[in-house]
Amino acid sequence: MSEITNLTAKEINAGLVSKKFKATEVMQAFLSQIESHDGELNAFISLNEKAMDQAQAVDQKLAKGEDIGILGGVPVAVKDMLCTNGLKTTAGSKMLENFIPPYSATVVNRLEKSGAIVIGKCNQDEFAMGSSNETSFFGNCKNPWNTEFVPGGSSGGSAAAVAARMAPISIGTDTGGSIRQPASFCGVVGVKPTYGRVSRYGIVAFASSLDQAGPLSRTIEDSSLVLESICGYDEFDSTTSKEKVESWSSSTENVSLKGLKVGLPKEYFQDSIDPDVEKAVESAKKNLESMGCEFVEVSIPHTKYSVPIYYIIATSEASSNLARYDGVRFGHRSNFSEKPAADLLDFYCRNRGEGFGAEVKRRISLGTFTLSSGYYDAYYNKACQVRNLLRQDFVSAFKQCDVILSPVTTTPAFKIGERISDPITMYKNDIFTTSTNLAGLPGLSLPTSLSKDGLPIGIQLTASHFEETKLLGVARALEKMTSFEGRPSNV
Amino acid sequence: MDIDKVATLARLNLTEEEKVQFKTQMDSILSYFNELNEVDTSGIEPMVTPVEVGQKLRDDKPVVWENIDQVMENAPEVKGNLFQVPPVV
Repeated sequence: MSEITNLTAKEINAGLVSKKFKATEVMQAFLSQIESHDGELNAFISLNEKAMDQAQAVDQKLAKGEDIGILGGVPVAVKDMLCTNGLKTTAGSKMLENFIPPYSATVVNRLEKSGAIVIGKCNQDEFAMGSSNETSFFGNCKNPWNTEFVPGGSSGGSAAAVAARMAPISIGTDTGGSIRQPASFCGVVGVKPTYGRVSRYGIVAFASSLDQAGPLSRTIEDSSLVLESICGYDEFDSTTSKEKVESWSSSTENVSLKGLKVGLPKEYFQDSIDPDVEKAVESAKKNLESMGCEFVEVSIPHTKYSVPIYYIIATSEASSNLARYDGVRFGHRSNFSEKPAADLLDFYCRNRGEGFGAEVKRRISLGTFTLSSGYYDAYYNKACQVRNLLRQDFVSAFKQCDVILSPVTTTPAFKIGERISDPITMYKNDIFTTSTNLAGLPGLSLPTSLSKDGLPIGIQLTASHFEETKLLGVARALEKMTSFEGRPSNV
Repeated sequence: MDIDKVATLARLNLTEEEKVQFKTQMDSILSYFNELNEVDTSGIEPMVTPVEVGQKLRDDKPVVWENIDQVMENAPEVKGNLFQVPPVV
C-alpha cells in the first residue's frame, strides 16, 4: 500500500502542485489499492478506463504551469446513482445494468471542472433504497473494518471506498441518511448539504423533495473542498438555491466555539441507544464543552413520526419517479421474442417485474398505495402535514441553539444478513437521520470512536438551513479534538 | 392492502412468493404508518418541498442536443429514429 493512498485530497492536490509526485503516480496508487482490496470489498461496480489518460492530462497541465483546480488530479469515486457521460451508470439495479448515460450529472461536471478525476462508480443499494448495501443487484459491499458487517447504505460503496483508501473522496446521495449512516459505519466524514445546495440534475431520482448529493472523505477540510466545487445554483435544477457558496475549506479553519449553543433534542435520548453510541455522544459533548460550548435541551416533539412520514413521502415520490422505467426507451426489457407480450400492461409488468429487486418493488407498491384514490388524504397528504410540523419543530429549536448534536444511528454496523428480512427494523434504524432530510437541513457524520467490537461510530451535527459555515466550522474544531485513528487494520 | 390491485397500478409483476411476503410486511408497515393519526393536523398546510425556492422560468427556446445517437444507443430496439416495441395490441 502506497503512502499516497493515505493522503487527503488537499494533500494530494498540494503535492501535485509542488511536484512531490505526478498525477499518474497518484492514480496508479489508488488503482493498485482497488486491485488489492476491491475483490473482497466490492465497493466498485465499474472503473473508469480513461482515468489514467485523464491523470496524464493533469500532468501535462502541470508541466505547462497551468492551474489544475482545487481538486486537480484527485481521484473521486462516484455513487452509481450519478450519471457519468460514457461511463456505465446502474443505480445498483438490473433495470439499468447496461445503461450508458449520454451526459453527466451537474455534480460530476463541476467536480471535473475543479480538476477531479472519476476513478470509478460505487456500489449502492438498488435505486438508493436500503440502509446496508444489501439490495444491490451487484452483490453486497463489505465493511472494510470487518467484512462480516455491512458498510451501511445506500451509499455503502462510497463510504467503503474512502475508508479502505481506494479513493480519497467520494460522492454519495442522501435521502433519509444514505451518506451519514454509511459514513458513520465506515468511520469517515459524510455531509448532506441543505436541500437546494446541490443540483440533482443527472442524478437518478429516488425522492425529489429529499434527495441531496454530498461528499464523503476522511477530513472535514476535504468535504468542504468538494462542497465548494459542487454547490450552487444550476439552471437545470429549479430546486437549487441562489444562496452564496462560501470558501468553506478556509472559512471553517480555527473557528472559536466559545459560547456556541449546542442543542440536545430530548426525544433523541429517550429510548435505549447502544452503550457505545451513547459513549461516543458523551465524548463529543466533553470535547465541545472543553472548547467553550454551552448545552441546551431542545425539543423536536414530532421526532417519533419522522420514520413513518419519511417512508410514506419517499415511497410515494419514488413510485412516481420510477414510473419512467418501462423498457421502451432505455433500461431492461424482457425477452418478448421468446414469449410475446399479451398486451401493453403485460409488456410493462414484465419489464419492471424482472428489472427491479424486491425492496424496490416493495417501496413502489407502498408508494402507489399511499397515493391511490381513497388513501391519498389519509397517508400522503397527512404525512406532508406532519412534515410541516416537524420542520417547524426544527425552526423553533434553532432559535435556541446553533447546532444540534445527536447520534447518527441507534447502533454501530450490523452483520450482513442480520436485518434484510425485517424491513421495519431496518427502517427504524433511520430515526436520527430522516428528520434532517424531511426538514431540508444540512447534517453531517463525524467519526468519533470504535465500538467494543472494533466498528466505527460517528456523531451527527445538524444546523439550520444554509448554515453550512457554522456546521462545518464546529465539525472541524471537534475533529481536531477527537483522536480517531481512522484506518481499518487490513487495508 | 389489495396487493394485486396495487401491483397492477404500479405495473409490476410480483412472484407468488413476493405477494405472500409483501402482504404480511405491508400490513405491519401500514399499521406503523397509522401512528400518524395521533397528530392533530387541522389547519396545517401539507409541505411538499422543504425549502422555498420560488418559480424559475426560462425563455422557450429550443436547444439542439448534439449526440442523439448516443441517446438511442440505450434503446432496447430501434428502427431509424424510432423506439421499436413488440406488438402489444
